Amino acid sequence: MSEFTALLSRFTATVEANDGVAFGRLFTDDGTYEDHAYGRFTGPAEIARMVNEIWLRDGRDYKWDMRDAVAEGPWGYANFTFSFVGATKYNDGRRMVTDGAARFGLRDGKLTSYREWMDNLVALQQLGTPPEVMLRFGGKIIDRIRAQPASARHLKEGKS
Amino acid sequence: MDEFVDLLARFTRAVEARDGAAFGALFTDDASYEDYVYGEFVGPKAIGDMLVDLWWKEGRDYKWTMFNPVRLGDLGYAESFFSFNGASKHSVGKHAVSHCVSQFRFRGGKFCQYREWSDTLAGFTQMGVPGDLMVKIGARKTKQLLARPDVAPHL
Repeated sequence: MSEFTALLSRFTATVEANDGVAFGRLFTDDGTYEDHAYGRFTGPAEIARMVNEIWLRDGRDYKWDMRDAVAEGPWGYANFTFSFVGATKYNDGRRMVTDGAARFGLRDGKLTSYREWMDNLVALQQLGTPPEVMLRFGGKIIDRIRAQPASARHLKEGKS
Repeated sequence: MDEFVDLLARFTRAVEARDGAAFGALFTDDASYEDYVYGEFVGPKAIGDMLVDLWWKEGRDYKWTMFNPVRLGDLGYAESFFSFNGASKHSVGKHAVSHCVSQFRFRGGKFCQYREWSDTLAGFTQMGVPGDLMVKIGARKTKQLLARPDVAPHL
């Protein structure tokens, strides 16, 4: 098992064990976790809080399978299947399943960053989210995309 | 890695030029291209036709920027921004930008498989798709997802 796949095993095992503190320790002091639903968290303590106080408030029985992992230099990627049982007002304990891909920033055996891509339409539909709430959520995601400097070339409409 | 970077440059150039032949030529004869919206296409001709006949029916002025590529053996990924101007009845006059991750499998200097992950909610919202239609699309895509063998342990 490579160092990266061993790191991914600890990543998923700590989430499934509801252990935010152990999960946070996988990150550097300035490491960032960009959660698709809840936004960005920085540093082990904040990332631990994200798991313990937010994820476990809004869901339970988290399952996470990573596969097709590759890493070289400062970056690693994997794709995954992720699921949990929802606990918010829009669902009645239904399990939400999604697949996605993640990019990991790597330094000295720890994570400097985590970013994920998954289809929120699939996730929110399974969680019984009303259409008007879906659209508001979509708007927030769009704002985040457009705020990234690397997207600048794509913000100008029409031919380049 | 240089070969991968070069292939990615040819990939995005072909899309932006609406060059189905050049795009299809990047793939092996049995290659699978899983488009997040339109589904799977197999082989260079079908993949080239997807670009020319489907993508450019629904949109115009495609731009694709790939970055942070990583490749190990026959598997690679890259992050990207992707944008276009809408041309369908819901989307004409609208512009969409997506942030995506693509996975590539290689064989003999070509791609034999392509998969991508993106957020259709953000894409459809920018294209003005009504909320109730989004729910229907979400239900269809959920059904497709739950039929994948690798999802079984989660059901």
